[in-house]
Amino acid sequence: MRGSLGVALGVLLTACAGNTSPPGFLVGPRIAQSQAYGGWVELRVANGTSVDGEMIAVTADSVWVLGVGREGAVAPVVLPVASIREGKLTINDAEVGNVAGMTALGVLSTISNGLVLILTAPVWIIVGTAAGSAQSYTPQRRVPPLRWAELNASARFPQGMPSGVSLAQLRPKPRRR
Amino acid sequence: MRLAVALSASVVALACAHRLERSLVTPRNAATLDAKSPYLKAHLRSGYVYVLADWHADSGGALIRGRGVLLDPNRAVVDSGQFRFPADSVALFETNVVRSAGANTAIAVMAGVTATIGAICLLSDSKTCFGSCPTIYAPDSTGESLQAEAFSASIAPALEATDLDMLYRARPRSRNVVLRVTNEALETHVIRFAGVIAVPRPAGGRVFVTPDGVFYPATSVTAPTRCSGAEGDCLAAVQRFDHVERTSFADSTDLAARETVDLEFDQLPEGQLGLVVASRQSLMTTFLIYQSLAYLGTQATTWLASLETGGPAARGFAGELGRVLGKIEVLVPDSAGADGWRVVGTVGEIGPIAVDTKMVPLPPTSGKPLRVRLRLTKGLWRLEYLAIAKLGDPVEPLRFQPAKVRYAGRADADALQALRDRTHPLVTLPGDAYEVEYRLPSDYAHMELFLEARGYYLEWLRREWLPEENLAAAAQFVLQPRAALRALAPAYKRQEAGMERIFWNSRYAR
Repeated sequence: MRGSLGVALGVLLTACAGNTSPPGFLVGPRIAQSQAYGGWVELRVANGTSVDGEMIAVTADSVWVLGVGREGAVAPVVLPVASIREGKLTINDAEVGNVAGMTALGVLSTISNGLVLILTAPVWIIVGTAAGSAQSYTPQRRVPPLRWAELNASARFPQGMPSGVSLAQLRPKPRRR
Repeated sequence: MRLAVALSASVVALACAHRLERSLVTPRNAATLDAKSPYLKAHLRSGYVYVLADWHADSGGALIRGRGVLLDPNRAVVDSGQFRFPADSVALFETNVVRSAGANTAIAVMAGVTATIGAICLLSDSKTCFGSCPTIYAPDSTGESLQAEAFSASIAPALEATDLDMLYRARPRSRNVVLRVTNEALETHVIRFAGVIAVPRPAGGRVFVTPDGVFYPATSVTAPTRCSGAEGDCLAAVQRFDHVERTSFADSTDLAARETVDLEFDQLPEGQLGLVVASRQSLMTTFLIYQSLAYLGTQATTWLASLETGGPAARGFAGELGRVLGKIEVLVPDSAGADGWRVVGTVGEIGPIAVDTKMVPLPPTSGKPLRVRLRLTKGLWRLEYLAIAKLGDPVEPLRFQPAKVRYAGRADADALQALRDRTHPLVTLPGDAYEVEYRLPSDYAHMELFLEARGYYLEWLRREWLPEENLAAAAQFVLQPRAALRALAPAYKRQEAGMERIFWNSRYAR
């Protein structure tokens, strides 16, 4: 039983979609309802470099990103969309851990099935893994297939970069402790 | 067990994966703001944003009111409290609604399946879970079907017995007939031997065996003209071997209460006649066996061992319950009889799974129509087929040992040896399935086939049964079986209607 749980959790983790956000940056859907920061965006630029950070604003032709270096240094970047090969925006934490926890509980609950658990426990693992994997992709938006302007709902400034606000003066989202 | 079922229920209760549904609305459409959103974010052109709880859009969306905070572009709080501002002062409104994720549905379905399976075992006290000795599948006209269950009454080594089952529907496709011998219950099966008996069929007829093991060629096999039981006409249920059975419900106060079924045959062939009875039991016996093991609880193994060491007397006590329940009695009219009827034979094999077909020779008769009465315990027997047949002289059958045995598709020499050598039995566990091949004579297509098997089986005690340990009640089974059958009637009646479904759903197979 313990081995099955390990397999379930292991498979679940390897099948999940990931992102490069720092720990604590992305919060669960309930908390995200009341916060006013942008999602975490990962851009692959045409010259082979990459830019990651908080999505500040996006329009049909430009993307404003507030990157955060490893030492906490702020790196504001404005990129023309023509220079971006692809982008991935993660809006909130996917709560995959909750699915994994429910799957683990489910596998344990098959004790009630007697020897039928030989059947139900693996099905729990398969279904739980598939559900966890699917859940991990729920908060993600990708360009392509989406267009850049369609990501604006998850920018700090969905109305576009406000005039009078300097990207360089913006402070990054505080880390949760 | 109960804890585990509660665990699966809690999985549903705790299902907590969500997805965020975010919408942007222009000020012109403020009247369409999603009121389900607990917070309203009003993004200003300056980069400031109101985050409001308890918000309202008044005057057709022209005026926004709410309590919350005003944040600057760095999301520092610059003001808080009650706010009221015109919608057209806002660049964009943002609403967020948390929805249940699709993953929750999948998890909830799985939790439901797990809880249902757990509840079935819990509610049924596992006393109707599949169980009944080795089950035998044989080739028939449609492919393969379950046609026999071997030594069903042998629930302990001391009760080891030889069982003879007619493979009524068997249709071998070649000389090499393959029987599939399976263990589909939480039981250990000990099979001493399993042989096939073949008897040439008479032209246009069949071969039947008596409960004593005498084989008779039979012709002019004829269904009854009339059949009546307590429910009225039951002819349609018994005139063909077609999976349509005549059944009845147990008495609600006494599981040993009897009933009668009366048969009449207008068309009588000349000569010695026999009554063919194809029947199987209901789940009453399964319930009673499991209930007795539950009452014995932790003492069950000691009791089973005592059958071995206690000699014939102990085994006699063990069989008392079966004697009270009785077999199917076959009666013919007799003016000298106590109630105008005389018992001429009994038939019926323990086991709820496969139909057992036997024949009871009838005494010579001259009157027409021939009247036959069956007397049987209410709710205990299912009558598949009844017929009269003209009997020839008894014949000696041909016996065949297994020629090959396969397990999981591979030849199994050890199992073959075990089934041929009666000193070292084949022991099978839940999920095991053996393909046993027999080589028949060249005229196999005209042979009636029977399975002759000897052995016993050990029921696995279920943990759920142990809390019911009650040695006084167990003793009543042995010492006062009639009283025990009256005492258990209400419990059995509560489960009787749903037993069949639970039984077949709990079959164990790999």
